[in-house]
Amino acid sequence: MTLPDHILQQVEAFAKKKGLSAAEKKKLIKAVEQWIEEEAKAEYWEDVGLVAAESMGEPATQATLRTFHFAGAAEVSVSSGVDRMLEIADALHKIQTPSMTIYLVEPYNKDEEKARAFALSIQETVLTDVARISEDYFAKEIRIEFDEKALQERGLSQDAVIKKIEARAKKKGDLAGNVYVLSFADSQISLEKLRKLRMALEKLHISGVKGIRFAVVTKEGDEYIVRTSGTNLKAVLKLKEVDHTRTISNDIHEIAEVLGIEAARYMIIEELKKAYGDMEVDLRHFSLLADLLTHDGYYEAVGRTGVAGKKGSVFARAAFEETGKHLTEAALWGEVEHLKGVVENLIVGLPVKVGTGRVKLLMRLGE
Amino acid sequence: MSEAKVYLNGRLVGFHKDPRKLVDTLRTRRRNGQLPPTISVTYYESTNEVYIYTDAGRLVRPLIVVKNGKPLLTEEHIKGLQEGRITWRDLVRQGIIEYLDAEEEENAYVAPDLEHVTPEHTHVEINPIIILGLGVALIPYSQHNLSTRNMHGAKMMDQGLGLYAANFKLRTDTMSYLLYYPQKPVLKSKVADFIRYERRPSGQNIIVAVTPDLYAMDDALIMNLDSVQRGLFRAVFFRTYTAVERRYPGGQKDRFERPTEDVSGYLGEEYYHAIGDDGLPIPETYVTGGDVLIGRTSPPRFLEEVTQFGIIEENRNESSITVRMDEEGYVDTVLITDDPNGARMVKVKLRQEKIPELGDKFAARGGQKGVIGMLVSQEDMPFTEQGIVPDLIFNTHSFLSRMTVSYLLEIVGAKVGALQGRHVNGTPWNGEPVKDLEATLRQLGFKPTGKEILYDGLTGEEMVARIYMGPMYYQRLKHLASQKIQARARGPIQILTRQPTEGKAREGGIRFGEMERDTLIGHGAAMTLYERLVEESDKTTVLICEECGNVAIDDAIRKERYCPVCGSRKVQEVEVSYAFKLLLDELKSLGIYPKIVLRDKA
Repeated sequence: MTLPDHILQQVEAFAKKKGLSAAEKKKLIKAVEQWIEEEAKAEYWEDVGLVAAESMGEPATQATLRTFHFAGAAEVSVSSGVDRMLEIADALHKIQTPSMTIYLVEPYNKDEEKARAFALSIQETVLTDVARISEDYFAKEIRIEFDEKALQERGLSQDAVIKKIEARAKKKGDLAGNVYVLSFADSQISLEKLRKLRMALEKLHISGVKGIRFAVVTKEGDEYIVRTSGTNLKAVLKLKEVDHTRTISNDIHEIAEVLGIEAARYMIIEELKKAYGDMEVDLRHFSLLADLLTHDGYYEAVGRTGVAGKKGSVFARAAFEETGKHLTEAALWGEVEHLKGVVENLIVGLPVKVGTGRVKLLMRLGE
Repeated sequence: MSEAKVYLNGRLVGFHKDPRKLVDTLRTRRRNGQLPPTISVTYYESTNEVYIYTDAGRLVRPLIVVKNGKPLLTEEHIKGLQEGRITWRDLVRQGIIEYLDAEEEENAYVAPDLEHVTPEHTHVEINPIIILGLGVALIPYSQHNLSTRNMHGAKMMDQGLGLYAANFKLRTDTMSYLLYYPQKPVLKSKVADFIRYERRPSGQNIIVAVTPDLYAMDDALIMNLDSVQRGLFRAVFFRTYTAVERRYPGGQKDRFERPTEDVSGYLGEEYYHAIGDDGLPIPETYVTGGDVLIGRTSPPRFLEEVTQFGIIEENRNESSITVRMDEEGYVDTVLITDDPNGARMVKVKLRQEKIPELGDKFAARGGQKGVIGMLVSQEDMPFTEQGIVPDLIFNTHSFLSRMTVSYLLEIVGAKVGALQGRHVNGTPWNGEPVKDLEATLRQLGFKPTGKEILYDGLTGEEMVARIYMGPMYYQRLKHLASQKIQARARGPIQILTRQPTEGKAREGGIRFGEMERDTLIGHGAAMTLYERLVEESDKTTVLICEECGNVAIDDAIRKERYCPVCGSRKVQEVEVSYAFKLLLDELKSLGIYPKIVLRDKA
């Protein structure tokens, strides 16, 4: 066993203060390790799940009042506090602030200019970012008015964009100044189709990586990293500038899909730590929850669709949500209630099978 | 600009090209008396809409009209008012005073007093105090407090015990309290005169010393036991019990009478000691919880049964009104009257003395409340050189975060009032200046700060610190410990679940809830949990059939146990909670067969 860093630091500091020799220090560390192994273990039959739930739930009630501390246009905002905790526990597919932390390989991570260029290149540009689209139903026209300044900022040329538009619309239009007109006056296109085309053009992908709405360069230690708003882990990891060993996303479903369930489990713990911020909650509570959320091989929510809905006991499921449904279905399938969990025994009126309720003493008479 | 929409009482009635002119004309006409004074006219520039309200139910308040930086009310008018030449009504009619509602206040710019009037202002307050509501205006020097404290104080004002109505003897309020010795406050707000607070006061002037003490921590108060025994804050509590001689279909009706032993549900001789043969209690009898206050019998629920001798025997039921289990006192008034249906109705008022005790709630006027933490004999209380002993000790720490300056000023002000034998005016913004009060205190030979040299009541030694001490107006609030205390060892249970009842009135227990359950599981105290939730709640022994797993029957008369479903006699006793037995029954009603499989306990 190795000690966690913060405890090790305390031990080192103590050793330095007392002027202990190397051998003495080693002995001290060993003693601390032994003490932790003995004392910090859960007792036999202790209900660690309930303790974990309360340990995470209680600070969450305190945190309700203080959420959203991050604001500002230049920084990528990441939701924290109760909102984020719920996102993780409920395994939401559409999280509020999807974000990636992209580490770069040399030389991109040392040169700010190169990092910036990379950030700009992955930022997704859709047509509405660089042009204004309007339609004229009488003339059956779609007018695209380019914003030259926006084009320049994103390093795009008008011609390249027009090529993309033509590919999507399957039609050539006329360019007059910075206004590009797609005219359907001579065709039999219905107004509905015209409108659909216009809506498709609004979201037309021009450049960058799909899904990454915004990317900024920040400095972490002695290297430059890129933080994004919006995620696309699969596409970003393929890029040659990216250090694929460290780059992560905060969308746990994406992590599970791209990097596997063990990575997702690790990310749940890391994201929970971030969500709880400076509230001190023991790591082991997080790890227990993360195990529970991922142990089926995929990431699923607590709650009736996930962990709570998959309990083996009928009574435990019925006590949580959809009581009638669970009881009638259990009757249909002839389920047997084995009375092993806590809730089941409470319902029946028997001692719960944790703690002292689990211990059975047998006395040998006559010895 | 397009035409402005004009709404009358919320309905669109038309459009106007020049809304400003419309509004001005309407207002001028209202001030001239051509339109009623309570009409409100508002113009919203942002939405270009004019709102005119003429309906009832709007709160309006008077303000002095200001034109070009000068209030229209002049010295001349005030003189006229004083001499009785003109009246309020004249001022309103002349457009000097105007009533505004909440809507029109949006168009007004109101100065708090004459000093602050600028040419931009449209109105000025008659007196700044009318910005405040009644409760806050009654708090002396409330302009020095945080607004939240004043709100708390205002809320507690109407919980104070006092003389709530002069005809209390004749009234039959369900619950009412009366203070024995209500007093006029020494330091008061002018508003108290307007509402005639002194005729219905709700507090007493007491001597308060401000000093920290262990028994005064977290807003606890230390009170002088001897003061209490001399009648300080002594109050009386009345509760009215009501009973009606109900009529039933079929011509039968309830009867007020002393139930005889053959009435079903007869309680026992000792419970009827307070009532006479007419079923009514004798005034000034002492009754305790459970005693019958109004004797009443009801006709049988079903029609009379013919006995074997052919006589129709009327077996009446006991339906008396008893004193609540947690109350006792003297029968004060017995009133016989008719209810709206013409049935005979009796109201009995129970009187109970409430002497201040541990846990009773008190409050000063600035939102500083507390409960009694200790009652100390006078000889143990601190005293001054003159022999003045405080009635109450208030904790210093209660000021730090709450910043109730009015509390401190009240002591200085009331001290001056007590020494000079006069009432001191503590009206917000218009009270006697604190500087003057301090100067007066100095002249009278007291410290201008209000501090006193105190001697410890226990040791007789002079206390190291100078203690802030003086008279204050305190209220006893209606939350009495004796009416909240609740405990249970045994008692009634609910019929459906066989669990203990809930609530003080039903002699209930305190709920051992989900979170409490979690703590016990968290500690692994399974047997304690079992004791709480099963043994001390709804533990039952049910018989379970070994063959089919259904609940079996114990036939006590034939002394046999068998399963009503399969007829087996192999039956086992199982200890479960009654709630579980109920669950089994409900499952059966759903068409689910819950089969219980028994196994040896090990």
